[in-house]
Amino acid sequence: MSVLSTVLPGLPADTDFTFSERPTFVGPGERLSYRLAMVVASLGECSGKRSSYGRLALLSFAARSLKLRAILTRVARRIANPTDVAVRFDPFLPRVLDIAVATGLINYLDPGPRFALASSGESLRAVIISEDLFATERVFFASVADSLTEQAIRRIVSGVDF
Amino acid sequence: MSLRFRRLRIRVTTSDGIFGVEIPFVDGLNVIRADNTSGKSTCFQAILYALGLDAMLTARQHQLPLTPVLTDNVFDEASESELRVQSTELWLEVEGGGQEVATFYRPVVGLGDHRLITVYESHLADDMSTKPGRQMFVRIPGAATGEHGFHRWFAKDFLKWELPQVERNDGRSSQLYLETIFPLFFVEQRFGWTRIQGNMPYVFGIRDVARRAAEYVLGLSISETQLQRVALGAQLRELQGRYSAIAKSMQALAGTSGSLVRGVPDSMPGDDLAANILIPQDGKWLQLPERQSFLRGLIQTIGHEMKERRRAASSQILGAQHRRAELLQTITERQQILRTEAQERLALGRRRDDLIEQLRKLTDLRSLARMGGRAGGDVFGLHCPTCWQPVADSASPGIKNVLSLDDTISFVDSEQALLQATLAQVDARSRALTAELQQLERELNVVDASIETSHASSDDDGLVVQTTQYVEYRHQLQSLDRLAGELSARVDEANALIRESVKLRTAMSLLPVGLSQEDEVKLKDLEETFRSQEREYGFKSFAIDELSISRETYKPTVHDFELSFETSASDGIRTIWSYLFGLLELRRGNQSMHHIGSLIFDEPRQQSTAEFSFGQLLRHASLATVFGDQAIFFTSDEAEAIRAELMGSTYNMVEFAGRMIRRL
Repeated sequence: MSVLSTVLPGLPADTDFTFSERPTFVGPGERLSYRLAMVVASLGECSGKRSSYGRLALLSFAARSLKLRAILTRVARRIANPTDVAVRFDPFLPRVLDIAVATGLINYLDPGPRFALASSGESLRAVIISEDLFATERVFFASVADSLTEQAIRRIVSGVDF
Repeated sequence: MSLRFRRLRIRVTTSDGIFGVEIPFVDGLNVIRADNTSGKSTCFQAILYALGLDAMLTARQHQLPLTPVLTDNVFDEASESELRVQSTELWLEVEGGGQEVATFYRPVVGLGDHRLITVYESHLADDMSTKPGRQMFVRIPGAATGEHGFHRWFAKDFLKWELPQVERNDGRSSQLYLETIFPLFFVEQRFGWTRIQGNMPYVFGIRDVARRAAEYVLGLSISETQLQRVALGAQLRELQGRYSAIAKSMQALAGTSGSLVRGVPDSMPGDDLAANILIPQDGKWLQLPERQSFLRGLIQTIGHEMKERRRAASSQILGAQHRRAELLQTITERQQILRTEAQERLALGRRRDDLIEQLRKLTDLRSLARMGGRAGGDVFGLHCPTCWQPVADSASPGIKNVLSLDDTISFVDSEQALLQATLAQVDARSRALTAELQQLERELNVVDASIETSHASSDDDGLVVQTTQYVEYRHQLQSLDRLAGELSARVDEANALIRESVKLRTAMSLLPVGLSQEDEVKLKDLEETFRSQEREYGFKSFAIDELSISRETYKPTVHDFELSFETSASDGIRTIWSYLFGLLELRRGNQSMHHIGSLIFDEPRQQSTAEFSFGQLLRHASLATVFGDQAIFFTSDEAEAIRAELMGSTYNMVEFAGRMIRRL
């Protein structure tokens, strides 16, 4: 008490203090729900609604900002080099994919790591499309998803020009 | 001082032998008698010619003043035919006052230049070619004054005469020539008996030449005075000439600068010049110093104005340059700020775009969540499928309490609004800065222009005009200063001439006027002997007492009028005899006279004079023997009559029967 009185003079000695945790601001890119929606949306634009882990990682990374989307679009159109894109490792992606598999949105395919859209995922995608949500990201996914070869994706992700 | 004639020799060479004559002369009276047209005048002329006195016989310089017998044809009495003259030569032996003898040789035609006289200081011998002689010239300029001029030698060295300088008609002075003096000693037949000094040549242009000659022969002191007067007059005229030249040069000098000189008369004034220069200005005439001071003032004023103008221009430039530096610094600062603002705005814009993107995603996410329950089952309920524990909507497993989507949206929205407001502020500030920059740049342009103008103002029209005026006025002033200097020098020069001429005039005015007492005595004596002879020779036109010698012209006058010969020709002849013998006799008591002591008359009787008178003249002339004078008469009077008249007198008669120039 004495310490409080010192810090806040005039504060009544019998004042009760309640401390509650304030909710943390989490941006859309760091939100689990957004990331799941992006996994479903991106897989839905991939050929056979299937994708390698690398392709998924690249697409979900690029979905975060306009600038990344623009560069990747140019690489997909062979206007820019794959090495022009700096892709950071996303530590949350494995967890997001785990939860997506767990919730039945996608399926893990062997030999992995490869994923395919599951029926729940299909339902969610149908809602997204019907409500015209995340239109920007979907246009992006549609334009680049099949244009990037696996080799190009490896070069981008590894940062090495094989 | 005297001249006696001793012998005349004439030699005429023809294709058929040599002709000639030789006449000896003695002191006293010599009567050379020959019939008319037998050659007396030829011999008389030959004497004058041998003395180089041609001018007494003809005014024509290039004509030989001799009879044709000496130049063209000689009459041979033996063959009664004319013979062509091949050459003619003359010799004349004379004796001076100190018994010095000289023989003059002068060719007439055929033998060398007739303008050369050879002087032998010896008697006339049969052969003169072996004697040493000196050649001198006559009848060309310099004969009277040049080193080899015969008359210079004859007058100065032989007669011992200093011939005076006399005034010429053109105002200059020259020497009195022998040709003008000898008419008082020689009387030639054609013109000599018409008046006294009848053979006077007037070609020399000497003022009052007869009077000057008489003055010299008489040796009047007035002639000395006259000489001085002439000399002073000549000096005065020279000064006047120099003065006129200076006066003219002053006028010309002033004229070149468009000004006038006043107070400089053309002819020399008696006092110093009070010259002033007048210069036109605005329709008025200013004195030179006024104009100079006016110009000095003008130059000073314009110079001051020009200096002020330059100073103002330079201070204006300095101020403007300072302001320009300030402006440039401010502009640089503002541009820096503007660049920073632009970067900030860019960053803010990116952030805003990002927020808009987030907002879009969140809004879509919220829509999906609302729909999720229906379509996607539990996707957005987020429970662990294994343990069925709720899962926070965060990709990061560490965050348990995630702000709700609605709160997140409203947070992002408010943040985006705040950012929008910030951007608006930044934009407003940028606009203000841009406007300020534009204003500063405009001001910079104005300052630059003003600097340029100030620089240009040092050669703007006004200054150019002023500079031109300044240079022009300075040039004018320098010209005027020079003009003043030069004119002042000339005024000094002119004043020196004026003072000199005043001195000369004073000296002139101090010269005695008129005849001296000695002159008066001399003229009185001349008058007496003249009257006495006129009486002796039977002069009848006027009473002898009425005759006098003019104190002006020294010639015989009656009641102050010159004796005219028109009334009586014979009295005219008598007057000449009386006057010339008067002069000869006056010499006897006067060493100061310049008379050669000889008279040579050609046919002195003339037809109109009575025999009685001529007899008197002969007797009078024979007295010359007594006084050591010489008289030579060439006459055609009968020899017997002469002898009868001269009975008992001493004389020398040389008689020629027939032609005097005859075959030798």
